[in-house]
Amino acid sequence: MAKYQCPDCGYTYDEVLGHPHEGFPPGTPWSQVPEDYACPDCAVRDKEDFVLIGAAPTGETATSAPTPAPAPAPEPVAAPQPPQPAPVAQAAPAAGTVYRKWLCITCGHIYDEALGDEHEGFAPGTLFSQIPDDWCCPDCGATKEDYVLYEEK
Amino acid sequence: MKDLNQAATAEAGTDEAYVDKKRYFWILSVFWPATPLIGLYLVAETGWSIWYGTVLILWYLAVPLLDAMFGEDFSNPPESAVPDLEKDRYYRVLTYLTVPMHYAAMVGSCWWVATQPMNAFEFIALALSLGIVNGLALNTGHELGHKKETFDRWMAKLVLAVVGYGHFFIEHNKGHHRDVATPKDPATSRMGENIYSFATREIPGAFKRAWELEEVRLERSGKSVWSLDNEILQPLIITVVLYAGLLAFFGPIMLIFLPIQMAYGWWQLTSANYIEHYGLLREKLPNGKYEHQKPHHSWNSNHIMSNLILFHLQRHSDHHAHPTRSYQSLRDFKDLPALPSGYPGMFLAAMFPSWFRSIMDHRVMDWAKGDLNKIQIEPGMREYYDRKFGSVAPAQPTAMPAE
Repeated sequence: MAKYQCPDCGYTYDEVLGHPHEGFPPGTPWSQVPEDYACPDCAVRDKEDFVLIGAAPTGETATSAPTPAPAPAPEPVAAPQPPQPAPVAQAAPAAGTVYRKWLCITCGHIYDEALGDEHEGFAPGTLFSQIPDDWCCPDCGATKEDYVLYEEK
Repeated sequence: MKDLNQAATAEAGTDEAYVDKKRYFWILSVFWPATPLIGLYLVAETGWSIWYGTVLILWYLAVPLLDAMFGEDFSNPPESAVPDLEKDRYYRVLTYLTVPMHYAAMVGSCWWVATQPMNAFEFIALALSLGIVNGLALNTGHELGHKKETFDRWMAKLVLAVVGYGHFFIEHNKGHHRDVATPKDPATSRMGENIYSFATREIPGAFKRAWELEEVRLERSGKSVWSLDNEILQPLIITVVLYAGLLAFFGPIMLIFLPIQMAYGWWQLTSANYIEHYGLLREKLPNGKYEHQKPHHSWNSNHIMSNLILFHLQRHSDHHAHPTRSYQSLRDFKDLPALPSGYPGMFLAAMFPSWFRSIMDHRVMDWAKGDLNKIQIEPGMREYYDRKFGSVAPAQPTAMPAE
């Protein structure tokens, strides 16, 4: 049994509880929720946008967890916690730094630490954690907190 | 009030406690629905019938003027203060208190109509005044209906019932927000569409979509769409009881008074829907879906005065990008498509189609960077706009000589 979260409003669909008001009795697996189902709280994200946040060790989810490409881009394997930014920041600001990419959940803009953003005044290699907190998405104006770690493929 | 403009934008990231300068000004949103009663009080005091139109004068003249005077507020609460703002019950309680205000205005006005001598002009002025504030019952219901708690959603149903538009809360949350700024949405107006033809598409379209959404939901639960769990029928029953009660109490004059105020209440919603996304269009992605709802898919207005009586509804861009954010924490963003006045002024302009188009069409063009293909255009108007703005020839840039 797993939980899936709306990346915009934080609504969580818990397979154990279902959502009886919406017509999903307790125990309804996410796979049985219609493909075109929109978040019942905000309606601006669809089923395919939802993020897997808590997979329990049942047989079927255990097989899908290690393979790195289930449909709703999950949190990186390194950080299985639900909330986004904090734990990654102090990962490795040292020499052999692994650069990461960050995704604006509002518009899909990607900040790539390796490339920086010249236009915004961030040299290549500027870590996301080094960007000022009041910085806004250059495309849509969403705040820095609206960014989540972006994992390719 | 001017210093509201300088509310704490720059302080983001500092440890200083954020002070919401508008905190107590939101009370204006609570009292605004009671304005018809203030008008009636003034009639009683002075005997001047002009006061019957208090709301009309304030809404269509005074508020637009004050919007022009006080201007806009671009400031945002720092993101670090938002969790506390969202948790602060005070803001939520204000929306609860607004609900009885609508009932008071309704019952008070009906009582007046039934008991006081009035001529036809005064009667209509009062009915339209009540219509405007009851249209704002939709605004109150809107704020409440977006909340996740059952209590808030019931308050939404209760207040929407005043104006007989209980299906709004389904239609808006699950329909309009999902489909906004696409051709699928009957509540998004097209460039060149006038408000009167828009109304004939929007009002039935909205009801149909709400009903279908409830049908699907109840079907999944194995219930009939005619069951009492139908969240369109629930507020409808409240409306029927309320209106029947008013009719029983205040007599047959209600048969004329109630429909006028209700129609004008609905008209306020139609006006809001009309101006909120005029012409805007989300891009279709290669997979056939539309891009996500982003802030620039709604017309925004930062005008101070009208925002204070509308629970920040006019910060519509952030609202549509993040529908569950509460009114007190809605943000402005850089480079949003912006209305030149608050909603009241725009509602007035909308009733005069050529005036409205002269205000808005070039703004839509700027928004689309001159590309008519990125705009929703009323069928039959494309040629007109091609002539007026010149199409951006997509294929052959050399073929078109400059004028």
